[in-house]
Formats: sequence, structure tokens, C-alpha cells
Amino acid sequence: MIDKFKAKFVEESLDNVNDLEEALFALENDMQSKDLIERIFRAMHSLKGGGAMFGFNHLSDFTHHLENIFDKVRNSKIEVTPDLISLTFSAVDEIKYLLEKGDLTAKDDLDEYNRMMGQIQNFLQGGGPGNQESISASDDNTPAGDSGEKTYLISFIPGEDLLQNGTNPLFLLDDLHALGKGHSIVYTHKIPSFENIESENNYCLWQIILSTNESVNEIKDVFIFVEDECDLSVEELGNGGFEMTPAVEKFIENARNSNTLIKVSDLKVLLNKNETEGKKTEQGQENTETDQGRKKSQLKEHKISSIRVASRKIDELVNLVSELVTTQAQLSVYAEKKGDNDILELAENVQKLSRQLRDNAFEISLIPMQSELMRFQRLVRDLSKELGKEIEFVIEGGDIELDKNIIEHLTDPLLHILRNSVDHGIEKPDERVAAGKSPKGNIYFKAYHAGASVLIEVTDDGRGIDVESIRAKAVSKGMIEENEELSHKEILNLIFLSGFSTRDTVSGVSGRGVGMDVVRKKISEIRGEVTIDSEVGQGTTVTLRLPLTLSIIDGLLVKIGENQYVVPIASIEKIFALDKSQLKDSFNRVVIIDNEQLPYVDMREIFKEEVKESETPQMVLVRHEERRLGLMVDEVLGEHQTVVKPMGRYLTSHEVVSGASILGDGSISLVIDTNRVLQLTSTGKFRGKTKTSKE
Amino acid sequence: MSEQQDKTLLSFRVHDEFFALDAMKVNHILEIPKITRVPNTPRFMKGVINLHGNIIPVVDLRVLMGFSETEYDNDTAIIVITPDDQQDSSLGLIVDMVKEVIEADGIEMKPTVVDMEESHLKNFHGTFSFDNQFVHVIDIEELVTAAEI
Repeated sequence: MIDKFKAKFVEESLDNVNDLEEALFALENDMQSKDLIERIFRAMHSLKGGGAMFGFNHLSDFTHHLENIFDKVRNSKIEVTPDLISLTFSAVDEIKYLLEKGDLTAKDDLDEYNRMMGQIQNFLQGGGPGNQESISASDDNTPAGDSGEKTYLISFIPGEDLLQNGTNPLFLLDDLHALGKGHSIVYTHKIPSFENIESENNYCLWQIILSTNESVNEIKDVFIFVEDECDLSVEELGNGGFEMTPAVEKFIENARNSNTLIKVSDLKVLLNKNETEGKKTEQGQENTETDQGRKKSQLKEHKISSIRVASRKIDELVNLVSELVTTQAQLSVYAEKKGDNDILELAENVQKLSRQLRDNAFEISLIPMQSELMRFQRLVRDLSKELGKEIEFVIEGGDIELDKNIIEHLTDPLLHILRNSVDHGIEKPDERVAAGKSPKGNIYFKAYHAGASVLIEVTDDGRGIDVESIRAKAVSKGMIEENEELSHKEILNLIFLSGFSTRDTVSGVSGRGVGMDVVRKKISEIRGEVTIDSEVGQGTTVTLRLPLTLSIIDGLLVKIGENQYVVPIASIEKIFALDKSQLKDSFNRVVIIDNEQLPYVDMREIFKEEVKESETPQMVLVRHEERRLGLMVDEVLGEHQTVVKPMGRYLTSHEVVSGASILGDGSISLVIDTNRVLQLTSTGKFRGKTKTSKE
Repeated sequence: MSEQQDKTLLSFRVHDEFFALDAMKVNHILEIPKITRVPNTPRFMKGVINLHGNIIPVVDLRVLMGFSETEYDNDTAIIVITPDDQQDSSLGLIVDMVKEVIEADGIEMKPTVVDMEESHLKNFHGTFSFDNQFVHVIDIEELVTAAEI
């Protein structure tokens, strides 16, 4: 978790640094601007504070000193000079570096750090960046070439029987090259004409020019096992690395062509000629290399591991991808109709790609719940303090990712559930002790994956919900009959019905369930379910089941009247064909399947299509939580993975249709919200009577 | 009512009356495509259409304004408006004929006097005379509210 905060801190700090840089640029043009100085000071201040908090001690220290300078600037004790600005610019680079590296350990880094610190402190003492020269001079004392590197000429002249004991001379050469930078020359003049070749003999010899930090003995060690089978000489060519100049190349080429081994003295002369020049370029190169290394690391932090994008852009991307998927489906339909193999293959490839693209795009729109958890923690903490309760709040699975649109819809219901738990669930410490519990209450927040859904459980070990008082209340409100038989769970679920609990009953015995109807409504808006379980004295668990993403579902395509509709497969339990006779005798809209009585509705009736007796009606059995209902449709057309599109704000309050999807041929099928159908059926809205719509 | 800020108006005919609305809110003008009926909606809500992959509800202005319905013909068109630039606010309006774009600068606007007993739209920005025809300027906000089911 801390790492995540750290990463976030770095990200935010980089924003700060950018701001700082921007302000510096502006300051360069307008050195008197108080506003800019303030801005710079502020940016440094937050870097310092954040750095200390997240364990970036070097960063914090460094910016602290830098901040001191600007504090003095702010109080007009130091004037802004070009020197100061340049110093700050290089300090900003160091800050970036520190942000990337965290606390420094490498010696080079520390040297650089201390050098910068020195400059800053000098500046603070009014000295300006004066010491710079002496320090950078000492830097030059260790020229890169003089690091013990030497160049040798190794002549390796194996005997003809080298191969017989299993030695592969090429491995030896590899070993040599591993010691440093080398250049091998192979001489093949000893290879006899073909008819005289003994296949098990070796006829080659080598010379290697090797630049290495290792000693002569190290080099000789490479040949330790073949010492007796070869002539070996290792001769020093000089200090420093070996540079392949055109002259040297030519020299080697000549040697190879004339089959005369290179003599150390000859090569030495040649190398010395190049030496002064060569060394210079070499050193220059190394310098630019380290420069580049540094620059690269500065560039690298612009390749931030994550970027922040306006969520609108992501919505747009997801939308476009959805369209692409739809268009691709059209292409597939067309390709199949055409039967042209080339087009079919293309369509298949496009399908593969667009699937991947779709998955990727949807993944992008997922964000971890973490961001919201802080609010929950605050709520529990503040509220429990206010109410004089002791509560331990445990969060599990905060890294679970959900569609950002879902998270947006989730926060309010979750806050509400938690508030209920703290307010009504957990008892006061003395009550808890009296009930034989520990004085400290517990609330567990747990999120985890279950198939294509995410489950979120909020459990408290508080007083629980008294089923009988709910029952009594429901009866008094006329929601259930006095002697209606209901299971424990069914009674508990009554609190989700709208109008069950109102403000004036907050202080009632059960006290719970305030606004639970709102919670359910909100959750079902994102196609989720909410269930509750509770034992008196033991506590309460509220479980939310949420889809991973909103915009795509597996659906079953059915035909009702003129239209095609999509029923989300997630809510379907079974599909079966019906015999007309089964319905004929059905009483009270119940059909018997597998010895089970199932209530059903005729979708034609619900959609006010002309009701006609179909010869082969089909039944789609849907389930929501504990309840099941058969939907009678004209025809089941097939499975259809589909992008659910909103129907615009004018139709959002539609009671049964929750969205629309575009089929392969461009036509529209409406998505049936089965949960709503179930709910409306249970309230008797669709049973027998037809609803009058606004006309 | 008599104030009129809209600079450019799109005029169209519904039944035998002429209306206009702010042309800046108009996104598309379409011929009647296939309209998918949405069950359990008021009669004026004709259904939804697929416009470049977006689902757009379509309202028949004849029904909304209490005129009698007729068959669609070649002149019948859908004007797609986006009242607040949000995609989900897009709405298609079925009109009998799209007439023209009128620059409203300098046009004298008078209070609208029409008998709209049956109409869901009752408030207009005003009425002006153009080419010897009275044109009533529709209040898009009222239209949007009326179209919500």
C-alpha cells in the first residue's frame, strides 16, 4: 500500500517539478515577479514536505536548502540573478533524479548530490556558485581512460592436436572477450590442401588484441588447460583502451593477408601514433556518454509509468472501441454472406484485433477502489468518535479494480451502508460489554472477485437486525399480510422496499434500513445486486454483487413482437421450450417445470404487443437474488455479446428497458432489465392488469 | 416572451404550422431511418434510431403538439438536436418538412398566440412573420422536458 502512495507521490511531485520549472522559465524573463517567487517557493515546500513523509530523505533535505534560498528571495534578502536561476534549474534536475532514485546510494550519485548541496549552501552564505570550479576540476582528476585498463596482444598458436582432448578454441576466444574489449585475428594459412586435411586436427592460429582491466595472469588463466598444447604469448601494448582506427585496421588486414603474425613493436608504434588523438576522442566520448547517461535518466522520468488522462477521453475511447466492435460484427456478417475466403480471413483478423483492443480499452477504464477507501476510513473514524463508539475498521481487497463508472456509483451507497453499520449496528462500548462482546466493535470491508462479478461485503459485529420488528413494521405499513409466511431472508429483504423505512423511524428498535431502498436502486442502476443477512446480537452483513464493467454484456437475443431484445445471460438460469398445453391449464400464471411451480409473465403483455397464442412459445427463466420468473418470449434467436449503449436521458426512467445494443446489421435491440421485470411483477404491476402509460 | 437571442433559426413545418428552433442546437437532419419502437412509452416517443453507433430517441412533433398523425412521406425528416452538447441529450424530432435557415437578426418577435390545447408544448420564445408566414420559435428547454418519459 505504501508503495502505491509512494508512486502517487512521485507522480504528483513530478507535476510540482514541472510547475517549478515553468515558473523558473517565467522568472527568467521577469526577475522581480513576487507571484512567481511565491509559486516556486510553494512548489518546493510541498516537495519537501511530501519527500519527508514518504521517506525521500535526500529529496527533502535538498529541497529544504533550496527552499531556504527562496525564502530569502521572498523576503528580499537575496536578489534573483541569472546565476541563481541556473543554479535552481540544475537543482530541479537533481530533484527529478532524486524522485526517480529515491535515496541515493551509489557513490557517483552522492558526489553529485553533495556538490549540488555545496553550491546551494554557498549561495545561502552569499558566496554565489563560486566553488564550482575547484570541485569540477577535481572531477577531471580521474580521467575515464585511466582506470587500470591496458591493452595486450595475445598470440595463441595451438598445436595440431589441440582438438583431440576436446578443447574448442572458439570457447577460449569467447572467454577472452569476456575479459574486456577485444579484436581477434585468425590466421588460416596453415590449413593444408583438402586431400591432406586430417579432420581431427587444428590448423588455425589466432592473435587477439584485448583491452582489459584484468592482469596478465588472468588472461593466461584462460589458457590454463591448453598450455601444453600451444604457444602462448601475452604482451603488453600499452595503457588505456584499444581504438580500432582505419590505420590499425589496415595494418591487421595486411598481417592477415601476408600470413605474418603481428609484432608487438610494430603495433605499438602504430598505436602510439594514434594515442594522443585517440585518447582525446576516447575521453570525450566517455564524457558525453556519462552526460548522456545522466540526461537519459532525466528523460526517462518523463516516461512515467502511469499517466493521468481526462476520464472523458477514456469514455470516448471505450465508446469508439464499442463502435468498432459493432462495425466489425457487421463486417463478419457481410463476409459470411459473401463467402469470399479472403474477406472472411480479413474479417476474422479484424475480429481478433478488435476483441483485444476492446479488452484493453475496458481494462484502462478500470481503477482500483483504493481511491475511495480513504473516504470510508474517514467516515468510520469521524462518525465513531462523534457517537462515542470504538470501532476497528478492516479493509481487505482494496486493490480490486472496477469500472470507474461503477466506482462513481458505488461510493454513495457504500457510505450509506457504512454509516448504518456505525450508527445503528455497532453498540456503545458498555452495551457491548454487557452483551459479552469486546468493547471494540469491528467492521470488515471485503472486496473480491467471483466470476465476472466483484463482491463487496460490509460486515459488522453489532446488534444485528430484529426480524420480528421488521415484520411488524411491514405489516403495519400494509406491505405484507399479517400471517404471510416469509423466510428469514425474505423478511430482511423487506427493508429494501421503498417506503419501508422513513426518516421518522430512524430511532425505532430496528433503526436499520434507513434509505436501503435508495441503496438498492443505486446498485441496480449499475446492474448490481444487494443482499443483507443478519442475526440479532451477532451482526449484519450487506453484500453487493457488481459487474466488472458496465458497457459490455453477454446477452441472449430474443424476439418479442416486431422487436428483438437482449436478455443479459448473467441473469438467466434456464431456457426451455413450452408446450402450448402446459399454459392452457395454467392457473394464476404459474407453469410447472421439473415439478416446480414457476411464476411467469408473457412479455408480449408487458410490452403491450398484440397478445396472440404462439404455437411454440419459449420461456427464459431469469433469477434475481432469491426470486425466479419465467419470461415468455416468441422466439429465442441466439447468443450475442453486446455493447450496451445508453438510450439518452429521455428514456432513463424506462421501467423495463435499460439500454440498447446495435446488432451486426446495424439494427437496434433493446436490453431488458430483468431485475426490474422481477421487481415490478412482485409488486403486482404486471400481474393481470396493464399499466396505463402517459399519453 | 418577445425577447429573442437566437441568431440563427432552423424553420420547419409540422402539420400546417411553421416552427423554428435555435439552429446552433441542431446536429443532423436525416431522412426517416428504421425506427426501433420502445415499448411502454408515450405515443409521441416513436422509438430509437442508430445514428453512427449512438442510440438516439425520436419524438414525433405532430403527436407532441397534439396534431393528427400522418404517414411519413419524402419530405418527412428527423432533426437531431443536442440541447446541451452532451451526447446523452441528443433527441430526434420528426417534422413534416424542413424549410430553411433564417437569420433572426433584426426580425421583430411578437408574443405567440396559438391554440395549443392538446400540445405538450405551450410556451414559445415568440412568433415572427417571414415570407408571409407565421413562424413560432420553440423553447428547446420546454421541448426537452416534455420529451422525458
